[in-house]
Amino acid sequence: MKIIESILKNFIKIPQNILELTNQKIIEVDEFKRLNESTNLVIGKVLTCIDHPDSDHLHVTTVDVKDEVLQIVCGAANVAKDQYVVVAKVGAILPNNFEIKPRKSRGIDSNGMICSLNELGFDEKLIPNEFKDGIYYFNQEKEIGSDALPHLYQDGFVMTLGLTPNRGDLLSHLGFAYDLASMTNQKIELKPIQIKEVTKENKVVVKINTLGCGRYYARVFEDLEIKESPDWLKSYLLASDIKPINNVVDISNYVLIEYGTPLHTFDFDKVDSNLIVIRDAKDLEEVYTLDNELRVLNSDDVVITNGKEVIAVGGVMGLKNTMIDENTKNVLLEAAYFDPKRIQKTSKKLNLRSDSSLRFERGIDDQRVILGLNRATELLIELANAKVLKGVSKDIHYEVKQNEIRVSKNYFNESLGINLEEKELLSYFKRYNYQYQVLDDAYLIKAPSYRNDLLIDADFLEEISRMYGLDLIPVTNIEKPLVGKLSFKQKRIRALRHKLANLGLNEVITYSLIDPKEVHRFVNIGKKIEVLSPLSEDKKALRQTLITGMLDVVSYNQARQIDDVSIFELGHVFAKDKEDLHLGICLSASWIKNTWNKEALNSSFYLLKGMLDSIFNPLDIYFDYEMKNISNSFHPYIQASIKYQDHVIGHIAEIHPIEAKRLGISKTYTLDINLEPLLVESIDLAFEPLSKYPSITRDLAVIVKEEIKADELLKLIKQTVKKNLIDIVIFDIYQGSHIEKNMKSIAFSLTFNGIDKTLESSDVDSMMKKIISRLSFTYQAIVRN
Amino acid sequence: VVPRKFNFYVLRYFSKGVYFFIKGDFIMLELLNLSYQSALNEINEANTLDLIELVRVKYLSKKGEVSLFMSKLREIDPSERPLFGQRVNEIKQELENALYLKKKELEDQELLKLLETEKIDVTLPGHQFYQGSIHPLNQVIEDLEDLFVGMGYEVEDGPELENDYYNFEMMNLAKDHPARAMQDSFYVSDSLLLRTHTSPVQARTMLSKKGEPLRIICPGKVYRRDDDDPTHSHQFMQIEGLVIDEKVSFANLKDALLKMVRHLFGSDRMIRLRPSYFPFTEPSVEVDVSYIKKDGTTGYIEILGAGRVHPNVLKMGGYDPEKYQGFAFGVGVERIAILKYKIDDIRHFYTNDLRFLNQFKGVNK
Repeated sequence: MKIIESILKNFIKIPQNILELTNQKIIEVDEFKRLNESTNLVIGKVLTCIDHPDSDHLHVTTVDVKDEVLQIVCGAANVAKDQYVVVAKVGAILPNNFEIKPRKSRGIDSNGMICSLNELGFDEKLIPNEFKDGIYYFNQEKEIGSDALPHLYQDGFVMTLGLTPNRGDLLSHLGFAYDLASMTNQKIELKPIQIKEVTKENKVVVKINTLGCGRYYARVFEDLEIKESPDWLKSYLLASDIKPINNVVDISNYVLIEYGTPLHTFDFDKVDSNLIVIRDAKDLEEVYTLDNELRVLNSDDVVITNGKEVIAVGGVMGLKNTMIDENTKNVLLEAAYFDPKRIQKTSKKLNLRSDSSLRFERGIDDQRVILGLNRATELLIELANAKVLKGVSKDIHYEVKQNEIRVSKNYFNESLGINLEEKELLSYFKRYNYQYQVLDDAYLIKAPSYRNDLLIDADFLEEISRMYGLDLIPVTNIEKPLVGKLSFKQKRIRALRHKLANLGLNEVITYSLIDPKEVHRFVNIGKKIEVLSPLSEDKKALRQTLITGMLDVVSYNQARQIDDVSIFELGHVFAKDKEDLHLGICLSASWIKNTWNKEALNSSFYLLKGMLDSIFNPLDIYFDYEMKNISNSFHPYIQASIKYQDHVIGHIAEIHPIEAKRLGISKTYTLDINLEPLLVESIDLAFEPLSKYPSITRDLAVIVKEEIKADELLKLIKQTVKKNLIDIVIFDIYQGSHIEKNMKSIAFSLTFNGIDKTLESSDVDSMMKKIISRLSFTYQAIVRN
Repeated sequence: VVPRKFNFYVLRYFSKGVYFFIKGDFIMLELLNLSYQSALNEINEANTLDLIELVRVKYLSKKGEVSLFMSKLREIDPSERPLFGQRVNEIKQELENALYLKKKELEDQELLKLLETEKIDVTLPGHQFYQGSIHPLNQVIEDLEDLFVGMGYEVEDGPELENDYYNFEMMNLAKDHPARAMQDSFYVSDSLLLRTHTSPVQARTMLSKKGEPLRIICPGKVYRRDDDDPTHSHQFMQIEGLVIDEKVSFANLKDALLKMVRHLFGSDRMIRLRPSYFPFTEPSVEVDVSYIKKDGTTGYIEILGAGRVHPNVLKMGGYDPEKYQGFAFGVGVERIAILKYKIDDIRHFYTNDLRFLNQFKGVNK
């Protein structure tokens, strides 16, 4: 909604600080500017005009601007003696920061500019044809030296309100004036409207047969002249972003922004009836609206009929069959109140939204409808030479009732934390035009008809708070203490995040919505979920793994010569009936390095795996890794499931070289695990006594078939000497000329300790023996010397 | 000089071709001293560890010159033997000591030579222990979590794919509510959508608290159907706060907001409130934070929305609005980071250029 100073000032005295006051007490101001940004424009009278001696098109003029007579060289063909023109004096700034400076034009001084409307930044539609190619001049005498903008209807500010859905009352200048009046303690006095009716009677009978319409007024006009609107009207409509069409349409649009009451005009000859019936539409009733579209209605819609056929879809759009055209002579003017909910449904269903339907949807002031009708009547007489038939046809089906709200006396002060005296509070009520009653312990308050958004006590609280001044409400600490804390889960997630960052990984956040084609490339955790109205195809489906987005990050950075990419992400993944928090890690190129020294810890499967284990093992979380064919986009021999407590919770893999090439990335290792099962149990620590006795370390190398996994051997060994084995590491893997083909040697270093005694060499010997015998029994392992 | 045995007397060269016969014991002692002297000389002259070893073998090994004197004890007058033996041992000790010192000296020299070969350029860079970074948005969230935890709040989270009942209905946006048009959302079915704010977490928490007072903040990702551009992102992050208790006033809300703004932007900041509208709060306000403009005057920039919890929201959450009041606020995490770090494009947060992320390594530390 745009508030134009020139319209607003007809209702109220505008305070100096209108912008701050509106912004801080009424509603957010999106934009505040002068209607025309030009400065230093005055009315001048051309005293002399002769041809420039050295030019075939320039003129040398002298122009009286009251304080002085300026010599101005003007290039317009239509400039002439005795014209009243718009002069931009030296120092004037025109739109686009065009500054007027004294200059010489082919040897002759020129001090100022006689302006065209184009140079003043006028909308093309506001420029009459005769002034399109030259300067503008007035048709009548103007006060020489006075500010030119008011004469062009271009003076004052225009203020764009950032309207919120609740404040439908601010969708008109009068509505805004009421709120401004409350804030500045003024009263709005509306000027009486003068209407001279002809003696011929308006014989139209209105009948409302639906709850969708509260009241309906109609007037009939004869012999009106459809023509272009005057400049002031076009200027204000354009300032409100409304395109001027003709005087009749423009008047109803003007009344709309002035009073907030939508009107509709019918060609009365086409209506061809003295009966207007408002009723619910019938299911599947078909009509052609003004835009020549076939619309199918149902009983939610309200229609206006001439007793036989539909002539308008109430509150939303007129029909083709009764529309105004250049031949229209007689007009039926409608002003009505429609139920906001019904209009919402209809405009949504028909996808028809207009300035009128917007106001009906938000709810107009039903008491003001007649005012809108009369204001339009006044203007039609003035601007269209219309004859107004005697009398207003009307049917008032119901009045919109405002609720009376009971509010306890201490409610406002307690809720806001202020100390407002009753006398002051009651003055607020008065300024807001509330009807109120003071009871012993409460107030009964009723909002004026134009404030249909005030429904409950809290709505009135907002009114009191802004009149009091939101900035004057004190700042008060809540005294009651409560314990604030992070949950175990939150602390663990945070610890993970910090650990990974401290390991040298960058945390990334990628989009949850990805290309549906990519969803199942790496994993399939369930049925794919897609949004119904995506912004684009590549942001349509919900991810099932974090690595899709993370690989894009690797690709983005490597395309910019940032080769070493070690990143992680904590984020949700989605499938039907499933939403889990996952951790993803991607390692590409080096992790730690010393370039000149040619030392580096390059990304590898084992680096990534070691990272994961070293993060989780201290939390008493151990994973099993199982070689598995998860995706063709992974290296066929370097991919594994990650299992926790016998459940697969994720995977770890190298990206397939072909896939890496497609993404434009170097060798990349990636893992993705579901964190949910890892955020359940905290470590329940009971201190373990430290052994006082020395440890014994033994090495053991065995030869086994190459397909036997290290993990299997480790498990068997651990299981065999559970009690005394405190550490076991693999220190060598060998395959080659010294052992048989298809076999491998694997060497362990085992550390033994006794909690209650020093282990003797013989104790360890017997344990080693046990291990060897089980390894050879289960895996046909041969001890290597 | 080779000690030669002459039964009892030995001929000793004195000087200039004059020989004396001296009593054997005396000669033995003289010979020992001579050995000692020559050993000391040789130790002194030895300039490698190998030569030192040769000297040691020559004099102190089992068959060494000095050692051999011990085996000659019995040739000496028994009365002289203890003295002589003691002298041999003394000399042995002294030679060993001299050898040790010389050896150490040579070893030190040798080590120094070795160390010289290990000379480095201390100005060359060390290993790159790469410090990673926490995403700036999560840094803002953690920072605010800490602040609010200190003020008695708990942190709550919830699903991003949300039931519209929690996302809209419980936030006082019925199906035909005009404000739903303000939030163009990503529905995946009739009733499920990507949450448009973290308010559904508030709804869930209210229900789970079963009427108990609460003080929570809810950080998380939210989604709206906006095309990505420098100031819009279809996915972004939000922190919402909710306090419900008896006798909670608007003044308490201002306190929480002022503390948050000053924590984030500095203790000299002010807040300014303007009337606004959200379906879930009444009164609703927009909150601006002050800043000093280039010309030295104070300006205000919009940072968050807030308000007193709407009675309908309290009712649906299981609270009696006659008894309980509350306030709520919601702030965009990107907005905070953008203002705090003067970031020019919201898309930086989701592009994850490492040059961008690495700038935040040291923040909040």
